[in-house]
Amino acid sequence: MTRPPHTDAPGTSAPTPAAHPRFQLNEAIHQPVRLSILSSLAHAEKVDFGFLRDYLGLKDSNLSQHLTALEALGYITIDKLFEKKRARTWLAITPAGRAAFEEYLAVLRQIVEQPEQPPGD
Amino acid sequence: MQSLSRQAVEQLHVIERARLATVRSSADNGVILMVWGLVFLLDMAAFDLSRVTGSPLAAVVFICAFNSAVVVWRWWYARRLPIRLRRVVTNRVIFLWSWFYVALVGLGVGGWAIVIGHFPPLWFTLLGLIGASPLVLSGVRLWRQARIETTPAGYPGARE
Repeated sequence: MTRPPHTDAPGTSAPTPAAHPRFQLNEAIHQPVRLSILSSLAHAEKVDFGFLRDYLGLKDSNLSQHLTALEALGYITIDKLFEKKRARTWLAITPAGRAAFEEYLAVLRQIVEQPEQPPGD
Repeated sequence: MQSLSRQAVEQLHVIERARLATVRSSADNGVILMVWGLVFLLDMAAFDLSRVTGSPLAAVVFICAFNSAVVVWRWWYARRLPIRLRRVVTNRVIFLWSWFYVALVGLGVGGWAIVIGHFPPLWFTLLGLIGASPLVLSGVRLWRQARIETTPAGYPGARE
């Protein structure tokens, strides 16, 4: 699984990957809703669709779009089951998703710990 | 414009809030441990109450019915939770507590009966309090942990 490239390259000169930790941030999970989804899934074996919908305050269709995008990247799995004649959708993070999330978390911590550089450096 | 590090800290907050929300809706929210502790306390108090009748039969009947109901409740409660955790701390606490329970009842009831021969008033309630306290305290600790957000490192007010 290759990480989607970061498109937020400032200035005219192309920065090297080692220039700043922000260039290592995974764009696919940078979006707050997707980050919250992966954060919830990272701490659980599986999570109910309804819980995420209520927690994130989204409509079913909106959440489904984010989930489909994450599933297409191979970061999550979506299982629709019938429990007592009631449809229930369970979401789980995949090893690739967990690795991407942990890498993202490490980069965030690196950014927080790294002293801020003045613009133009 | 927000600085990059501040944005990163806010994202760490988003992650932490999501983790807490997950724990609050999981079997590790502390509720099961608190209920389990109170059930044990009531079980033991029932033995003290049954001494009035001169026979422990009433307490045994009560404990069988009450504990069966609580086991059913625990199964139902865990099933309706929207989060299934990979590692459930609650189960581990109950497993470790069961050894303590065996030792407490073995020494406090069996050992005491052999050595002393009679039980002082409210003896079983006292055992119940001693036995329930680790479960209730663990439950309260988990319950609090699921509600207190940890400040990410580097953020103003963070504990370094």
